[in-house]
Amino acid sequence: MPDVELRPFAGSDTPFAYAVACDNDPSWIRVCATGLPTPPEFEARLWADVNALFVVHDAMGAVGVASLYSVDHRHGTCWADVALLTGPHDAEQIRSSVAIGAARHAFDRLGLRKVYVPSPGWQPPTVDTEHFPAETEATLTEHLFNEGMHWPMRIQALRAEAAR
Amino acid sequence: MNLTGFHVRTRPTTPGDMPVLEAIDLEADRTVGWRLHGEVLSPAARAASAWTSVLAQRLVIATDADEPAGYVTAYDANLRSGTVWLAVASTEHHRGRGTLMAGVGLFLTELFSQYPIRRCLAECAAENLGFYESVIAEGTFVVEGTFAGHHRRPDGSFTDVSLLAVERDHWMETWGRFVLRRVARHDNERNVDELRGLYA
Repeated sequence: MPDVELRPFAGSDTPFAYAVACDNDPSWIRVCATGLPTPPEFEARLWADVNALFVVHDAMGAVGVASLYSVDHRHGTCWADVALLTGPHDAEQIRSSVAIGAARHAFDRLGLRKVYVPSPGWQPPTVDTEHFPAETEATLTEHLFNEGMHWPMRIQALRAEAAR
Repeated sequence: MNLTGFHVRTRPTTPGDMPVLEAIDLEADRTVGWRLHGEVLSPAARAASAWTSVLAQRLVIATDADEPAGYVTAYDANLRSGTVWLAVASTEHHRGRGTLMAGVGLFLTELFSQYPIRRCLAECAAENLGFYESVIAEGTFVVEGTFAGHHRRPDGSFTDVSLLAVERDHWMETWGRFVLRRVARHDNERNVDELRGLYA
């Protein structure tokens, strides 16, 4: 797995996050569901319903943003999303590493037991199951529209007991 | 467009309805399993959350007693993809009587008629799946996934939550057509007549 670091997101990182959104807005479903928002709208959506927000760094520097959102402490669940800049880095492997890292934060720091990771059908499933035993618990058929086609949306589930 | 059926009608929720919405939420302990993610919100935050990310929201009125039977909300719309999520909350008095499901039928017909939405999804706790049994069996609602052990029960056990999907084309060719041709009345009949023409 590539070496990535999840650093806490600061207010000064917002322009970088907006650049990520502009770079691949169809893939950043949580923030760009209704299209690319204006910068003020973007900032509100970026933080809405979020419990943890990170800037993703690899050897080349900042390459994306990850978050834990819709945290449900009553049931011990949350959702994770990962949005990366397009570029020469190994996006699929980085995306998987980041999702697993965010999930570990949810398990070890927030005391949650289950993390859901959605991924659009034009990308491979976010979590590489060779590195974490994630299960695809839902496949929403023809759920997303991109590049003139409808694509499924997969939802993988990561459990705390599998991380230990 | 607010449709009226045989036993129910819908109307938009207003700020004046907050006490009703709050009573419905608290009555069924909605904070445990619904959109509030286990939190108890302050009245001000609750009022704000009632309209946050909401595309359309209707109070369902049981016409016989002229009382609220519950409310339905379409939220987290993705207009690029034409999808939206549906939340349904019933009063305890009307739970299991079919009143709210009739309201959901009117609401879906309104929703699919007025917005560029092609599919609607809903989370459904295992204990509520029975209410959808007939529409799942006939293929109107499709179970597209199940979050195993998603809800933690008071006794420490866990129950599943299923993801249900209903497609606009299927709905409007079956139940939507039935609603418009046989059930719905409206204060502006021309609107309904036009829709009946589209789905004749």
